[in-house]
Amino acid sequence: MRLLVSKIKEKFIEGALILLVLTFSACVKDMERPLASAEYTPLIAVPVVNSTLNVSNLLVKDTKNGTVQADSTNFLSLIYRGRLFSLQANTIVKIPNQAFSYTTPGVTPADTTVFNSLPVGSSYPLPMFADTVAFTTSNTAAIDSVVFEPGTVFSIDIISQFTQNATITVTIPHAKKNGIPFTQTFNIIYPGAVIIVGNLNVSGYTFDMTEGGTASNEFNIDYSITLEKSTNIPMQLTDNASMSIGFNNTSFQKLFGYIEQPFLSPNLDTVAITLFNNTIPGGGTFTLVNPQVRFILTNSYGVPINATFNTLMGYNPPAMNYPITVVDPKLTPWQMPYPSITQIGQSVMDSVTISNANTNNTLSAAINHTPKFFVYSVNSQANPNGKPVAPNTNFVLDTSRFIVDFQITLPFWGTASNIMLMDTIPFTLSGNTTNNVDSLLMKINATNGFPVDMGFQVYFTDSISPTQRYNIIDSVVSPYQVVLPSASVDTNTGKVNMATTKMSNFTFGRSRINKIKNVHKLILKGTFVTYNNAKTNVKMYSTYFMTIKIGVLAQLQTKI
Amino acid sequence: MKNRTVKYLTFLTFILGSSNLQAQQDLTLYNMPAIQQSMYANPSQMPQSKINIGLPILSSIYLNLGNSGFRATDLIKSGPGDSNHLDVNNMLSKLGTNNNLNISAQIDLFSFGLRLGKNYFSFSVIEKADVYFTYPKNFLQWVWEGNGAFLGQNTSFNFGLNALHYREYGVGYARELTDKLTIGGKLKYLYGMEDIWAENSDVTFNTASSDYGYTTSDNVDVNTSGFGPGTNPGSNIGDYLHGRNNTGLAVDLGATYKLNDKFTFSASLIDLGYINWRSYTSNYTSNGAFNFDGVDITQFTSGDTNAFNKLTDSAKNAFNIKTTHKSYTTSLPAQVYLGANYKLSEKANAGLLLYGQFFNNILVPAVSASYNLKLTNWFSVSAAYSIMNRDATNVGVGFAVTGPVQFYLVTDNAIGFFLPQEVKTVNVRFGINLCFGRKSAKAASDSTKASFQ
Repeated sequence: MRLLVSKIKEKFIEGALILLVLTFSACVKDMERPLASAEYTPLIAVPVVNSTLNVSNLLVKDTKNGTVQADSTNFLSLIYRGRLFSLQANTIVKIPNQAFSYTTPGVTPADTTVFNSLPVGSSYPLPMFADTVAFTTSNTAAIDSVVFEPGTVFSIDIISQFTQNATITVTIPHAKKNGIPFTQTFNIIYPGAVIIVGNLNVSGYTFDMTEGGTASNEFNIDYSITLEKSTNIPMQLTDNASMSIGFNNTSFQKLFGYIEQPFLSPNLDTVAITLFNNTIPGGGTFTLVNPQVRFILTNSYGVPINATFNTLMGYNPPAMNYPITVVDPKLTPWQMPYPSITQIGQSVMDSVTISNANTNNTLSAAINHTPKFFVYSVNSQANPNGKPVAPNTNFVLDTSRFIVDFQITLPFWGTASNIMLMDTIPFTLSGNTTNNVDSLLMKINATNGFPVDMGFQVYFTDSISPTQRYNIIDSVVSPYQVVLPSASVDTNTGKVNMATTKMSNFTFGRSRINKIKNVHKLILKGTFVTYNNAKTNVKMYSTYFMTIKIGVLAQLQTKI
Repeated sequence: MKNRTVKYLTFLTFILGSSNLQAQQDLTLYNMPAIQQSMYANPSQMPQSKINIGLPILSSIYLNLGNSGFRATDLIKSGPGDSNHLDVNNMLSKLGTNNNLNISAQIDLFSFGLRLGKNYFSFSVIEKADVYFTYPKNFLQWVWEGNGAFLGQNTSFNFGLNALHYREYGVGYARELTDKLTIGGKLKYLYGMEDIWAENSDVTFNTASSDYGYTTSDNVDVNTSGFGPGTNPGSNIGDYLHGRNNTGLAVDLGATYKLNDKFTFSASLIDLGYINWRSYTSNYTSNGAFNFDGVDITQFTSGDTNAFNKLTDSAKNAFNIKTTHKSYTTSLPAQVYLGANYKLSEKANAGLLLYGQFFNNILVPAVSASYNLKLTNWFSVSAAYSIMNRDATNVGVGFAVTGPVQFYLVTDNAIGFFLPQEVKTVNVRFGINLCFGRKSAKAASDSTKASFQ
């Protein structure tokens, strides 16, 4: 019996051990089976944007030429500065090239007799020859005096018919430099008809062309010829010398006289107002209480100039004009000041400002149409009253400028309603970017210290066909709403007295995410309405700011 | 009585459920005094042989792998079809607030013991390597569920790491003070070779619920020794084996008290000591905070294209890691054993053992119940059921065949060798000792005065 029990125990233990081993083996084998992929679905929260924006952040980058300036009270104005035109002296006063010639009359019989009797090696001066040169100018322009610049080429060509060596001295008695007249001597060596070409420096010489106050555009040239008897060839009565004189590439340092009545400004030109570049014409209204346009003159011409604004208007392409009617007596015409003879080399300045006061409010009306350009036509003319009466005279220096600058001042005081900014940017989702996003929540937490209701929208568009390239398939803000409500405003001062805060959530489910897979472009649209639905004038200060925080909570779904 | 039992169970559940369960334990070996290495768990336990010699390398090899967080089967589940799949949520549900991964290895280079009357003298040289790594549940949860699942919460990630390799030179002494009481102690000189110690490794992360902004801070101090230029053992083996100035001291203390013929109580405190690391040390400190609430678009509108570079630079500056090379001191993870044995027969006893290990100032507990049987004078076995590493799937076994040459093998969880995926702890200690001057079977039977074999 004991043996039987022992056997049973033995078999039981054996069986248990086999069962145990089999069980353990099976369990270990279970772990060796291939591992199927699992779903990884983390919820990822990411802060995307955290910015505090003030006026300079919002406007400066959009205004290529404009700057936002704050006055001592931090009140802001947008100021555009530009140049309507700038005229240099050589664009309105030009001296054409000049060419003169002179041939000495033949020698006298007495000169012949005496000279032929002299032994070789003797000198014999001929009587001085004088010539009056007439400067050519356009129409009635008259040069009293001129100082040439170094680039001016003054040339004398001499052809001698004398059969002897000769010395020819050219003198311009009314062309002086430091009180000394211009003079130049040429030595001519016989034999043959000798040609001498001289490029002479007249830079810095003042050419008095008045013949002692009796004329203009004229000056004298004296020729002194001394013959050196170098041969025994007899002098003939027809022996002479010919001079060709020229002024080329003529430019001046100073010019006095009368420059006639040229028109000094272009007929029609435009100035871009980039502030309104992205606005949609007709999309809203825009009122500024006190816009101003200031024209600033800088004139160093010694010439009286009158200017008249024939055209001044706002303009939106292709054909929207908003005329500005200037009724300021100072501008009909604007008699621009100029330096007196005692102020030569100096500039005088003047300015005139147009505002609603002298435009019958047409300036505000034009601004309120958010023009992208100002179009102007200025008719400005020199010597409007003709030639100045002596002793008055025009003077022009090579440095003379006639400059008209403008400054458009747009004080941020007024209203804006339904102003819409829009831009389009390329946007494509690469590959499987959205495949792993199951849902997405965009949270916008904003504090608005500006007196403006701000709406914001991002449209996702795809391209159905070449002609329908901006097919809107979804948008971020749905339904559309004011994301940033205006701060509250003191209606008496137009100044913000309390900022507002708003939190907005925008959810994208799987179906919406799938839709934006084929997006090619994003259309960004912002709409702005000032406080109280634009029924209250508000003022903008540099102390205003907005804080915007954008975070994204994404439910991801991927296989691992 | 019933209420008291419920209280005790509740207390036990609380201890095991709320604390870190660390493991470098010898729960089964503790009740096998036939093996001289049981003195590593309680120095008051004298071996029965007069002379005990541990053969170099062979006398004791100990390996331990423990993970208090989860089993493999908590993470890998069957299906679909003939495949397995990852069940991370299930794995996370098994984790405690803080979880430990422990890898330990010990090899006795030499050991020797000599009984003289009521005294027992011993000497041992042991090479030890331990890795203690603590990982928080909320970090894995954070990675798996995403930071969006923790909005508005300060999520603290407190990692712990102490990886050290050292050699222990121990001199032990035990004495039977009375017929009932035996005490023992071991003074240990420690020689450190490598160490990585995360003195502080606190990282806090918060994702704001209002705007999803990140706020993070760290307080990290990591000390290392034995790494870097000139530390390659191959290039200077002498320096590596005995030339480094990383020294320390530790003590083991133990006592055994035989209350009466049936009950024996015992207690020990193991590895109470430190190592001062002085050679090839580096101290890495990062103490900063960083906020990221999103990109400031004004940096782009102002034309600054280096906005992201500035962002990364400010993050780098916030978490700038400072490096110094100062000495530092680490404590050994001290262990406490509290045992009670009830004599069932002349050859058998039942034991209850409470165990605790201190790591990062946290007590890591375990509890074990054992049945210890001395079948013959030369063959003894133990079986133990333990709760450790927050896991109750631990069945320990051990046996010793003791003659002049002793073979032994002890593990706190035999299941781990067959079903490693089902357990959190696997360990084993085995070896060959030389034992001389053993008592006769009868004498041995009579000598259970202060032993709880």
